[in-house]
Amino acid sequence: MKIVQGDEQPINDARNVRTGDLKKQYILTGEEGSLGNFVFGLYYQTGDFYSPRHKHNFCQWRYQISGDCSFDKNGKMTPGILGFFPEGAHYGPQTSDEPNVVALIQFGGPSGSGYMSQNQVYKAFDGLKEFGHVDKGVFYRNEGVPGKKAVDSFQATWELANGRPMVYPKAQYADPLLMDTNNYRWMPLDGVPGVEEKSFGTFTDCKMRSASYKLDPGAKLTATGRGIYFVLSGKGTLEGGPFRTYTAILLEAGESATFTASETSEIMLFGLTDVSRIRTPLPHDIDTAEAEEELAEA
Amino acid sequence: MKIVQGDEQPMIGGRTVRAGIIDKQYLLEGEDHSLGNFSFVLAYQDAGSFYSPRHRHNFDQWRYQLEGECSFDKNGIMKPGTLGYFPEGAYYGPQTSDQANAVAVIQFGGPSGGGYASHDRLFKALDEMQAFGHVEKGIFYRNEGVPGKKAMDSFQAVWEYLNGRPLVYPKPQYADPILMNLADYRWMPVDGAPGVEEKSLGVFTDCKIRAGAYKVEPGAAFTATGRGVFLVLSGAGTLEGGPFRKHTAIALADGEHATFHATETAEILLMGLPEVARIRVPLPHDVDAIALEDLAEA
Repeated sequence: MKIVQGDEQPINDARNVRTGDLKKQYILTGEEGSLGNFVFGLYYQTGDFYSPRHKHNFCQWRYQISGDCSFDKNGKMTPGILGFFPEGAHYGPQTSDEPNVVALIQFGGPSGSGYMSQNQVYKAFDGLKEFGHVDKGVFYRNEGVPGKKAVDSFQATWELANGRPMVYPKAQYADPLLMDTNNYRWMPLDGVPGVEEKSFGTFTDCKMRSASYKLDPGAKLTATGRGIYFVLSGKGTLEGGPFRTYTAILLEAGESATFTASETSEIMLFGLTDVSRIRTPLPHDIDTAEAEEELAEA
Repeated sequence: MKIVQGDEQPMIGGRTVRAGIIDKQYLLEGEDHSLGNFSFVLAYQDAGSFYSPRHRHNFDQWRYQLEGECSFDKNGIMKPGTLGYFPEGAYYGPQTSDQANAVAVIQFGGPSGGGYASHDRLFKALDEMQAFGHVEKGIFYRNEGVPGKKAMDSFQAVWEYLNGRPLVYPKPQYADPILMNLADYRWMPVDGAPGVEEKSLGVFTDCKIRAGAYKVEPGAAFTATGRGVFLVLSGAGTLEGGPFRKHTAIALADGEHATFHATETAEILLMGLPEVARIRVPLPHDVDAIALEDLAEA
């Protein structure tokens, strides 16, 4: 269990591999090197953001707090929209022409591809320099070094860190799922007076849950299961300390924590993968033909 | 509980409120006029004959592609083994097929309480509407001089004729259809059910509509529970004292259960239905300006 007051975390200028200005407020991180690793933060974009249509080998939750983000044919995220972006599913291009704030979680998905921490990325990136160089997002191997001569630099970094070809997982949903949380009903939570739930769904074979909870003053919500509970509004106490807007708590499988509201509160659950259900990559999982195809496409 | 042998149901030729030829086997239906009413059919489309324009419904759909392909344009292509959840209120299509194909389709009353009109009522209304208009490529055109909008989505026209009020489209809980390729999910053991594995595909909407597939080894028993339709995709065995085989289907209501005993390896698809207690009961004030807005856009 980890509890963090989001409003106490610094907002830093962020390196951005895309176009546009971006500031990040990191709130929670997982266990580096684990299949269920993640990073959670608030991202502040100051307009003119652009990223081309692409896909990842990890999953994402995106919750739009203010402003709009366009994902072209995948739709537009306006405040109150929650998006689940499955590993392996193409999305975008992503653009925004106005300042906007999004709560973003990137996390290791069902395929067992994991999620590299910034430290892992930078360490591997430095390691690449021993046998090649990076120019404009492409890694070029030195003459005589085995392997593909030119490859996307993130992919080269990932492959060095993981010691195997990067194969994009098959997407369990063909496209991102955008959920306007305003279109869901508050429904009473059985056996929990003063608490209502909006149930947004449970996704993938790793059963990632998503919901929000509304607590009346004096009501208690006992949060359970692996995921991040993020306070959108209200205040009260949480495990002996205060909670307020942007307080976040990480729970691991089997853990629980109780919110006691002193004001009407709204709390969002971004579920993480059930670690016991994440696929453990095995040597025979590396489909050579598919890996080569992906590498050739990169 | 209702059990039906799909292969014993007659093939009924061709009626559709859209364009093209569809043969249908009617397998199961719910209780007409109830909020949770549904219709489950196997639909067989000729090559190239089917077309429906981009549209939406005020009910939910499951579509499972058995043979051939169906294109939904920007929403993707359904190939054999793809399950699609088409939420009420979400636009999809245009839908076309340039090859013969077979699809299992469940249309059912969704979370909004819009309900679902039975085929009998629907086609009776369509027959009556021929007196003042005609359908072409999924659009109902009123005859010259007949009051009302000249051209309207044919389903919407039928619904409005049948219900005597404007059709109010629910706000979608997911912006787009959700397409799931079953081959991209893992079989995982089901706790306490030796010889049974599950592909957990998801739980959708605030009515907790489930989807999954179950593989049952010879000699193993799988107890199905909860509101939904279980369709046998392959294998054989016994079900509640009778036989099951390919395209045997069972509908369970809330609180009901039934046990499949496999004599051959069997694969069973669950297409869940909303928990009736969670379906919104429509209120008079729900018909408001939104309806007029929808009519203006139609």
